[in-house]
Amino acid sequence: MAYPAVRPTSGIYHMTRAYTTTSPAETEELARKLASDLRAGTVIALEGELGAGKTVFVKGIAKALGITTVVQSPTFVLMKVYEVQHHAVRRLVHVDCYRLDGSSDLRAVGLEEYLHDSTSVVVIEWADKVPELVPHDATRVRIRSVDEHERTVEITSPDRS
Amino acid sequence: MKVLGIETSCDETSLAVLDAREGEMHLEKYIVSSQIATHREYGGVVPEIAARMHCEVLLPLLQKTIGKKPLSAVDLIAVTAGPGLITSLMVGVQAAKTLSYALRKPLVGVNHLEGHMYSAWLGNSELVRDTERSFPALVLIVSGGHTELVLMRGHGSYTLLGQTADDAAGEAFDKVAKLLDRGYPGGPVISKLAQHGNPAAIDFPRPMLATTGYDMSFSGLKTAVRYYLEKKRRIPREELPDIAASFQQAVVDVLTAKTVRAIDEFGPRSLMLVGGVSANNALREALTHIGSERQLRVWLPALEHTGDNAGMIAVAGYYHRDEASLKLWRTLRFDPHLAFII
Ligand SMILES: Nc1ncnc2c1ncn2[C@@H]1O[C@H](COP(=O)(O)OP(=O)(O)O)[C@@H](O)[C@H]1O
Ligand SMILES: [Mg+2]
Repeated sequence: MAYPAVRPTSGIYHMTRAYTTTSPAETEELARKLASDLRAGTVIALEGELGAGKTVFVKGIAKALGITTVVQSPTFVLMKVYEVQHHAVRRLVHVDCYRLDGSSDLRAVGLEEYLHDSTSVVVIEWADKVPELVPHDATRVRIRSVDEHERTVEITSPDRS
Repeated sequence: MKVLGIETSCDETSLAVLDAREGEMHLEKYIVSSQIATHREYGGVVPEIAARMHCEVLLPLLQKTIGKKPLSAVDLIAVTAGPGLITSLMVGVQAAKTLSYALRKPLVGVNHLEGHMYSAWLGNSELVRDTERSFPALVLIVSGGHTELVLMRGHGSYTLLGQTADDAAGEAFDKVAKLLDRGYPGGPVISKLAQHGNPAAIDFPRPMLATTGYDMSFSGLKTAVRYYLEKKRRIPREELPDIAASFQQAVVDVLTAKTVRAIDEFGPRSLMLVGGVSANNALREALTHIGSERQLRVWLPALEHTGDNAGMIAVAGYYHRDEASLKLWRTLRFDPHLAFII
């Protein structure tokens, strides 16, 4: 189920779609589908409380990129980089800002290099903690728990058409 | 031979001098400088601060470790090359390369996780004396960033049997401690609370217990604790120990179930529990119990060696001494994602 809406933000038109999922497998599959035509250079900013399903969503993106190794939570190391075999994307950069309250640490571990790299896809969990690092044309994914199995996933992406 | 161990992969700066020979080893000097107090304010390790602190304390610590003895008494330099925080790793690796070059002593890079496995050798003289009798060993590595079940057939011979599919066990402790508003690091906080709680009070889920294979999952557990807290709205202080104990029991049950299954399939001759979470008393007791039931030797690191330390790096370096070289200072790289089992 999806409803399209258009709202302008900072000069770029954004399109928001909302989905409902009822299991982690469904959330992962939704992410996989949405990521199937992912362009290199895309930044995906994920928001949602602890246990909302951000990491589950990233697993789906990884699948779409053909990553077969397990995508584990990067909370402890802040950032994990996966090399990928894909026609356009060279690597998936998985960032987790859960433990941070500023962006200097992500700079220290080398995130900026990837943010400006046109062959990487960067996904950032807890992106709301580092607003200054999220580019204006990032795709935003907001996940909310409805109950123990249901999540709403709201995706806002720049309208490129 | 004397091995100088250097560890700076995360938030502990540590140096050790290990005196090792066939069947015998002891730590001559051993220093850990923890940054926990600094990072506690932030609820976790802050890489930039960690790196700066490593830089500040490393040389004074080296001087303390070596004392009046000349550095030339060292026969081998072992340093953690990864995995870890890039900014922290580079401090130790750079120092080790410099020492190797200046002193003309062989250098060897150690994988941090393999180092944790060798923490079991520290303080267990029987294991050191007759290591072969303990192989194959089933090793459970549990820390803030890792949860792995490994079959160790011999030095350098490892098979990864299973790992976490999402959160590390130690990460679950940290996140639940934060949900309970109990601060960082979560391991000691939860286990202390749990001492006076009833582990059967709340039936938290044991994810992936029923699935075949040895992979584990802990993200459902943190989510279940969150739901529980939200449903209750207000948690009386008296209930916190029960929540902590029930959560901890769920973690222990998942880890032990997979361990027992691996014992049945692979028939190891010993059991090792290593990594930061190996300090957890409930987990130590559970594995000791499994070991005595199945008549397996159980090797636990001394509590002071459960966390990151250079002693274990020196031990791992000793067993890898054949790979050490005088030229490695030119080429040794630190790698935040360094793989352990290739
Ligand atoms: N519809 C759903 N979509 C995603 N996750 C769900 C859903 N229903 C329940 N869950 C559970 O929520 C948790 C999400 O965990 P995780 O992805 O680690 O969250 P986050 O990364 O946002 O902290 C998992 O335990 C998962 O099983
Ligand atoms: Mg996550």
